[in-house]
Amino acid sequence: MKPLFAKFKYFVVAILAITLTACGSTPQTTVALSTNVFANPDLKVGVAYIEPASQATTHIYGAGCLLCYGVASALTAQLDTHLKSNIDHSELENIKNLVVERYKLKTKNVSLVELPVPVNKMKKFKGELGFANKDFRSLKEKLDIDVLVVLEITEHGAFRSFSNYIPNGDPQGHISGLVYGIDLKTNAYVQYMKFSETIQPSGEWDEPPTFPSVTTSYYQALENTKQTITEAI
Amino acid sequence: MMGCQSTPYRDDYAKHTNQLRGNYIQPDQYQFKFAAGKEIDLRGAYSSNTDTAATPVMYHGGAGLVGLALQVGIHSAMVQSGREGQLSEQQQQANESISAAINASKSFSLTDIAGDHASDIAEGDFTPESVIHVKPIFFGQTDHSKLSLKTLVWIEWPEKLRKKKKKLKHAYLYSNLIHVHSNLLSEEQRQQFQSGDSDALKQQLQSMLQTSLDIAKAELTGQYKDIKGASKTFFLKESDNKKVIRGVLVEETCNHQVVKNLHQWFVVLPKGQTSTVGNECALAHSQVGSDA
Repeated sequence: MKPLFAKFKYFVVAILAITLTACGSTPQTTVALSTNVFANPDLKVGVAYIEPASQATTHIYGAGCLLCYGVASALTAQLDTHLKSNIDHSELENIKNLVVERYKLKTKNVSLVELPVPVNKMKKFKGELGFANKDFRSLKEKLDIDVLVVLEITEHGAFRSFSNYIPNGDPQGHISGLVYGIDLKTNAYVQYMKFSETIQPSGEWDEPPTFPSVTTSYYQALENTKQTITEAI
Repeated sequence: MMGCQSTPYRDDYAKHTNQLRGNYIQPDQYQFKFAAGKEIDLRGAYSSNTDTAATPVMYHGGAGLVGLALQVGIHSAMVQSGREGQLSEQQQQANESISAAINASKSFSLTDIAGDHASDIAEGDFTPESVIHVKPIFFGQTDHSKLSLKTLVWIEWPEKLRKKKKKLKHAYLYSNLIHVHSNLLSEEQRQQFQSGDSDALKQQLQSMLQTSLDIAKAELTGQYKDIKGASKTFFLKESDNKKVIRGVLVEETCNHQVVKNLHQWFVVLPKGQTSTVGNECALAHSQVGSDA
């Protein structure tokens, strides 16, 4: 019995060690756009856009239990309905167009591309910091480009912070995502930038059905994001 | 928990209501009163962010359902009190930053700066519903870069209905807010604002008050009743960012744009970034004249 218990103990310790090692990996920090790559006048850049998986909604943080989350969702249900029915992806398309336009200022060969497979289905790439953790190199031939730029919008709509059941503040206009560029020869980042804008609505927020304050703060978050991207590219 | 839904109360805020149902006021019957007296109300502008840091609380599991409700109630009151305290503290700090201008504003009154609208001020005895109530609140940026004005405008229900106020869906027959933004101040104007130059301040406040009273009169006499259209994004340049206004363009002059925003408030956006706009405008007019 004892050897079996010892084996189980080692197994648990090994699993814990693997898990904790993964938690210890350093997250990718911001990489300012490298201008060296644009020295080549024939450089071909492809811009891929990954739109948010869900419609505009309220993103809830800090509701730390299932019941808390249920209560938090109920408190923002009317706002969610408004966001879903009134905010489409058209403004996000404008951010995509902005990225294309900004890269066109760096090089003449910029085009929109579609990724043949979703990023999370791509093969892993074992590199150091500064390299993408998925292997994009095969896209060089497939898409006939030298640099792949990805604009990924992860969340948009509103953001509300909770302490379990209790909101810490009003819902705020929100958008988050990342822009990164990869040199498809080396799989190294030529740019990596996360963005997350949360804008406090001015005045009363809870004005159904149109929620003017939160809606305006969403558009403010969009404009701030455009500004951030303009400055970065 | 529904109490936690609410934003802390602010008196510079109005929910738009229009129950006039087309019965706009005749221009010759238009009269208003300053609801909070004639004294100038000038405040420091501050961030409206009242988010507090997360306050982790362990609820006692053995307290039963009533106990849980009580604990959640106490937690909620703690958070709400923190948010209100933050708002009050921010206002106090902002007022200190423009204290010289606040002191200077005490040397003149609202009637002194009402200009042509002084003749519309109600005098003598009148019932609350027979006049338009106007409450102007001026704000100065703490970096002395600009001024703004929020004018709350409302009309009371007739006396019979006013007694049933709690049963009415809308608290007022009409209520709205007019938000006038000044241009970004020039370096000289900033110095004047910072040092509390009362003549320069009076001129700035007068211009904003008159614009807001012009808009109130135009709205309540029905001049804007046919304004409709899809919302667009307008921008207001501030010293460190670009503020977004979503709404419909109501009126445009060579000095400013009037936008009806998503709240149905009227927002006045200056066209230029400095006070040289007036000159550019005059120049544009003279060029048009010479072209013709």
